[in-house]
Amino acid sequence: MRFSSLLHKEFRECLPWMLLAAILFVAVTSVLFQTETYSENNSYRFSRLSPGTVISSYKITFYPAMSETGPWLFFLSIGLGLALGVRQFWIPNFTGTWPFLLHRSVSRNTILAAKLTAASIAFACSIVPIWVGIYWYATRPEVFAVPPTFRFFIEGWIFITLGLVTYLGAGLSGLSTAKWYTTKIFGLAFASLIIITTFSQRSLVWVLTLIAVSAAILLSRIFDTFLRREF
Amino acid sequence: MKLKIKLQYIATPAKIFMAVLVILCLLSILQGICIEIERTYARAKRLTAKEKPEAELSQEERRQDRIRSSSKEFLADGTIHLISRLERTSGQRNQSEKVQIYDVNDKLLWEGPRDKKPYEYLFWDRQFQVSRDAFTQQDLKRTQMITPGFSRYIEIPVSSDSKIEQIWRYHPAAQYFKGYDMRGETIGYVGSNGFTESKSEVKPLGEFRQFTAWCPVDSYNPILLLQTQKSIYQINFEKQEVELIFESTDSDIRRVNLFAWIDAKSDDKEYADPNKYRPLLHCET
Amino acid sequence: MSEIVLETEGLTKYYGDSLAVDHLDLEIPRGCICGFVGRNGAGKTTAIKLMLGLLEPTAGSSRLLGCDSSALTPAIRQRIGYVTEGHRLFRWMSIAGLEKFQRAFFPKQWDDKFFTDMIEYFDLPKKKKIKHLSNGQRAQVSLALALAPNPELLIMDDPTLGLDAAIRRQFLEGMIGLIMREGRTVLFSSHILGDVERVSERIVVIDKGILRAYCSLEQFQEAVKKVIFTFADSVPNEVNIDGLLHCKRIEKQLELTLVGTDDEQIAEWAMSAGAENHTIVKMNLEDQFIEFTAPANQKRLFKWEER
Repeated sequence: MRFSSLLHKEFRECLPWMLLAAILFVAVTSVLFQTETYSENNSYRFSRLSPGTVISSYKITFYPAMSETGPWLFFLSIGLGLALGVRQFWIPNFTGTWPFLLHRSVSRNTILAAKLTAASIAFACSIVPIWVGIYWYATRPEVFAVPPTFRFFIEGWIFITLGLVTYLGAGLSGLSTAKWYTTKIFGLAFASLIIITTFSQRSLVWVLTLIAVSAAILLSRIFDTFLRREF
Repeated sequence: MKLKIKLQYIATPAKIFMAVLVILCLLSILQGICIEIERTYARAKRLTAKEKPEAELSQEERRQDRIRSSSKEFLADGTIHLISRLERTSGQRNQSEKVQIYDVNDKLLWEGPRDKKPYEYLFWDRQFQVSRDAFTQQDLKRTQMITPGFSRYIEIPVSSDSKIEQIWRYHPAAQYFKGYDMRGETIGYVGSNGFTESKSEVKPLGEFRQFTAWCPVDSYNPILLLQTQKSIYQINFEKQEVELIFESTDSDIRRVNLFAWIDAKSDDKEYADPNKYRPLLHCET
Repeated sequence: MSEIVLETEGLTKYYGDSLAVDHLDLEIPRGCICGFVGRNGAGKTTAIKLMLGLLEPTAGSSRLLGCDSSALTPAIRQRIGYVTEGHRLFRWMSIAGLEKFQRAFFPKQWDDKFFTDMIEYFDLPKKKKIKHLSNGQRAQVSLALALAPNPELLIMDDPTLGLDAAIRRQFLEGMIGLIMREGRTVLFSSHILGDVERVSERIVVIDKGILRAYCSLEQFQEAVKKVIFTFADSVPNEVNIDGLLHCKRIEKQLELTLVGTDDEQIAEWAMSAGAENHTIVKMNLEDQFIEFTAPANQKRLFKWEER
C-alpha cells in the first residue's frame, strides 16, 4: 500500500518523459520501416560489386537491417535516463519537496526503491517493448532477406541498459551535495566512461558484465548517499 | 540501519574506485592534451629550423645532410650506392624524379631521372606481400565492435541477371557461412565440409585468419580465398563449391602472402582464364 | 510528571565552520503547545530538521516519542505530523491526489471526515492542482494533510510564513482543532509572535542557535519587563541590577529592560540609586521578544531610533 503509493507518485513523475521517449521512438521507427525496404537494400548491395576486381572489405560488410534505429535507441535511452535521473533526484532539491517526501511512515530504502522501480518500469514500458517489436518484425519471414541475428537484439538491450546506467549516474550526481565541479560530477562522469568503454568492445558477455558491475557500483553509491544524506 | 552499515563496506570501496577511475581518465585526457601541445610546439620549432636559409649551412654540413638522407642500395656484387633525391623545380611535376648516384667514396657516378638509372639494384620481392584488400582478423574484430549503429556482418551476395538471389552471412562465433534466399529463408550452410542444408551437418571452417574476395571478370559473384588457423579454402558461393587448397596438419599457418591483385592489369588475358582467378599464394607455416 | 514526547540533549549542528544550533536542551511534555521563536537564521529550521532526523547532529541527540531522531522508525513517523517550511508539496498533484498519497501512509488513523471538513472550511476544490493554489491555500492543504492523520506530535516549521492576516487566522483556527484533541503535542516555529501568543502554552526562544528561554508563555511575559526610572538630578553612570538586558538614558530618565527581576528588587534598586519614582511599562510579546533577543550592544535596530 505504502510502496505502491510511492511507486504511483514516482511513476507519474516519470510518465511525461517515458511517453515522450516512446512517441519519438515509434515515430522514428515507423519512418525507418518505410524507407528501409528490401529492394533498395538489394540494389545497394549489387551496386557495390564489379566484375574483375578485388573486393575491398567495406564492400561486403554491412550493418544489419534496421540498424538506423540504433543511434535513436541509444540516444533516446541515454536521454530518458538523464531525464529520469534529473526528475527524481535533482528537481526535489529545487522544489524543496525532499522533507515532505522523506517524512513518511516508510524507511528511506523504501522511498529509494520506489524511485528506482518506477524508473525501471518507465524504461520497460517505453523503449523496451518497441525494441522487442522492432526485432520481432525485422526477423519475420519476407521482411528482410537477411534477418538480424540475436546479437543485434542483445546490442539493443545494451543501449537500453546504458540508459539505465546514465539514470543511475545522473541520480548519484543529483544526490551529491558537493559542488558540481567537484565530486558531484563523478556519477555522470563514471556513467559516461562506461558508455565510451562499451563502444570499443566486441564481446557481448564482457560488455554486459561491465554494465552490470558499473550499475552495481552506482547503485551501492546511490543507496549509501541517500541513506546518509542530509535533506 | 543495519543496511546502512553493511552498505558502507561496499559503497566506500565503490566510491574510491569510481573516484580513481574518473581522475585517471581526466589525467589521461590532460596528458593527451599536453603531449599534443608539445608535439605541435616541436613541429613548429622544426619548421622554423627548416626555414633557415641553406646558406647558413656549410658545404660540409650539406654533404653530411645529403649522405644521411640518401637511400643505400646494393648492386648484385654487393657494392653499395648512395642515391640521393634532387629537389624538383617548379614546372617539373610531370617529369620523373631526378636522382644522384654516389659511391661510398662520395663520388658522383650518375645524375638523371630515377627511371633511367643505369644500375640494377637488388630489391625485396614486392610481389609477395599481403594484399591490401585482404580482410584480416583485425578487420573482423572491427566489424564486431559495438557502435551506436550496431556491429556489422560480412555478407557475400550471389546474383543472377543483375538481381541478388542469395546472401551468405559469416557467423564468426560458429565459424561458418549461413545462406539466405531473398525471402529470408535459410538455404544452407558453408563449412569445412562444403555446402550443407542443415545446421547439424555443417562443420566449422576453423579459427578465422583472413580472406580475400574477388569477382571474376565475367561475374558479379565473389569468390573467397579464406585462410583459417590451419587451412586455406577457396569458396565459390555461386557454384556452391568449397575447395580445400592447403591444410597444415602440424603447425598453424603463420602467414599467407597473396599476389597483389590491385597491381594486376584488368585487360591482362591471363586473368580471363577462370582457373587462374585465384591469386598466387605464398604460404608460411 | 507527564511523559516527555520531544527531548533534545546538547543538540549541536555545524554547517562547516558556522554554528547553527548550539547545545540545545529541550524537554517538551505530552499535550503541550510550544511556540518555537527566533529571528531569521536563529536555527529554528535546523533544529526541527535535526529533531525529525532529516539532518545529522554534529553533537548531542534528540528523541521523539522515545525514539532517537537519527533512527526514527516508520511506526514512529506515523505518529508525527510535519508541516514543512514554505509548504512544499508536489506541484503536479491535485488536493485529492495528495490526500490519497498521504492516506496511504496512515491507513488506520487517517480521518477522512476531518480532512474533507477542513478542505471545505478553507473552501478549496479537491480537484485543483497544487501548482494552481496560492501560497495561503497551499498552507491550508499542508495543515489539513498534517492534521488528518491525527498525529500525537505535530511539528510545524514556520507554517504561517508569507500568509496574510485572514489566512493566518484560519490556519490557527485549524490548528486549534487539533489542540482541542486530548493529549496532542504541538511544536511550531514562527516569526509572528501574535500567533504564538494566541495558541502557545510554552515558548522556546532560540537566538544564534543558543536556547535563550524555555518556559511557559506567562512566565516569559512576566519575566521580561521594561522599567522607567526618573531621577531628580542626574542618571547614575553605573547600573548594577540583576537581570539587566538593555539600558537606555533619556535626559533624567533611565529605561531598563530586565529579565527575571522581581518588583521588590526593582524597588530596592530604585531607592538605592536615588530614583524619584519608577514605572513598570507593560510590553507585548513581540516587544519582549525583540528586546530579549536584541544584541546587548545594539539597543535599537536603526541609528535614528537613538535620537
